[in-house]
Amino acid sequence: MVNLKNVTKRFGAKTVVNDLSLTIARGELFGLLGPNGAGKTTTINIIVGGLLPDAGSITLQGSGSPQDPNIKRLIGIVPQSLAVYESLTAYENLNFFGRLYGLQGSDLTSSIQRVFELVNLTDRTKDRVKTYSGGMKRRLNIAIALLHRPSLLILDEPTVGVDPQSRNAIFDTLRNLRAEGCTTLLTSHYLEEAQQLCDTVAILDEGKLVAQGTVEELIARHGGQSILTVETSKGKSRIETHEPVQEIVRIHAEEPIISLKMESPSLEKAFLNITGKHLRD
Amino acid sequence: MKEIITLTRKDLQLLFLDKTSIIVTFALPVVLVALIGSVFAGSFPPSSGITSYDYAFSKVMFWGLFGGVASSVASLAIEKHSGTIIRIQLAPVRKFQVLAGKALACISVILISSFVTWTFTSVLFGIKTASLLNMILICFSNAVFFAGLMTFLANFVSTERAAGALSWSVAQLLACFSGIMFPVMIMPSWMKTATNFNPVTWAVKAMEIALWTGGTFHELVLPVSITLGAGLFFFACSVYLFRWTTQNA
Ligand SMILES: Nc1ncnc2c1ncn2[C@@H]1O[C@H](COP(=O)(O)OP(=O)(O)O)[C@@H](O)[C@H]1O
Ligand SMILES: [Mg+2]
Repeated sequence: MVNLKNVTKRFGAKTVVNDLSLTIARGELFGLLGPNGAGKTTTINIIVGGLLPDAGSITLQGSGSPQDPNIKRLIGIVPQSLAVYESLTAYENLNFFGRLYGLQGSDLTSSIQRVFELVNLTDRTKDRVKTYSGGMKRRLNIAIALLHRPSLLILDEPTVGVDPQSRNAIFDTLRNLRAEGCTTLLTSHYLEEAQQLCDTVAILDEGKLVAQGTVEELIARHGGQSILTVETSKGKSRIETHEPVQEIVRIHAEEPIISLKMESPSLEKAFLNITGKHLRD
Repeated sequence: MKEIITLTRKDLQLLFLDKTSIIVTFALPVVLVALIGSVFAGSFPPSSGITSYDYAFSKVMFWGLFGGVASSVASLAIEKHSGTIIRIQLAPVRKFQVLAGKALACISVILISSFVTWTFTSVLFGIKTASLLNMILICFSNAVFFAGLMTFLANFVSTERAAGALSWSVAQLLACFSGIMFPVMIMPSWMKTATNFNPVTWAVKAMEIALWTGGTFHELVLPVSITLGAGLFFFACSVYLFRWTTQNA
């Protein structure tokens, strides 16, 4: 669905995207991950045709160019900023963007109804957006991108500044869309979220691709061992192991366990192991 | 064309929700005509053929147009800043259509401002209008000029604050060099020469002709072509210059 080949983008002397190659398969929920400033937004802007790369090529849907209007119609984008008109109502926002995509009449009305249901905003449609909570604005931001039934949905940090409830609503929406066959690319600097949600991820650091694969693969390859902190009557001990369950059973047989803490391998740890850095805000 | 109308409708909707813009564009000119007209009430003898209010109207109405320009420039800056422009860019519409949508909204606002100022001051102060038809023609050509100017200015700003600052600075300068701020008659000669290169001077001249003497079609051809031409020129430049995103978006 999306194919980036050796894409490089510089701003002045700074290389923001460095020789990046990516493939996103149809129907996949793909996570583009990395710390702030890694080049995620820039990559997205290149994919949607808002920026031209200095080197390399992008093709969408086989051999399509992001500049082609027919390809543009296939893409729905959720920008990192809240790209909505705050003084209009949610309904007026959707009405405007729907018309821009050529929807009208009962088509438009039913599309608006459909996306309101998708993002769970049906009870506040006639309220001005500025009266919405941060999470509701984010959901509206997503709804607008879904109006014209895109086959490629791109979300830039969809969960930044979102309350847990809205976040779960957003995740449910994305899972439902995947079930309908929509290809989704999302960026995030929360690796934990991506681990829950994505099929495949690519990890960027300083514009470079440092790892790419399914979540399971990356965790198995780079996630390291489980870390057990076990307390028995003999005292506390810290154990690293690939087989945490067996290890717990073994210890418990020797000496009853009083308390237990387990850290499983995770994308977060994989990132640490690959780059030697903690990924923080 | 459908796309342009959609864009225009949205802009007008946004503009009419903004109370400050409404006041600056529609109410302020009427208040200014009242103030300036009464200050100079003694300076226009009957022999001059016009009253101080007629004189004030012919100049002050332009501040409403500048207000319309300022709010439209700001609305485009807000779109760049908030990212709604990215959405519009990715929709199947062209740069030209986006700017035309903005320009059409600006033209509408300017026409409404002219109409409101004229109606209220006519009722309140009996503003002299020698040829209503010519005056309507000139309101249209003025609207085209100011909307063109608006799209041009919008290229240079990416925040609402910068939009306000730039629009009002340019407005002050244009007003200085056109007889809106003070009469051309009292200007030093270099300044008089400079006013000839300012389309607003011609807009003001055309307005005076339509209001005070009526004017023949012939008399109006030059000033109207200059304002129309300048507006279209600015619009063409803008379509060429327009960038979707700001530097650091
Ligand atoms: N238009 C631009 N001009 C100059 N530098 C930019 C521009 N856009 C982004 N950058 C820089 O490129 C780097 C990557 O930015 P971005 O793609 O937004 O990262 P991310 O989305 O991963 O946080 C940052 O250091 C940012 O400052
Ligand atoms: Mg970003």
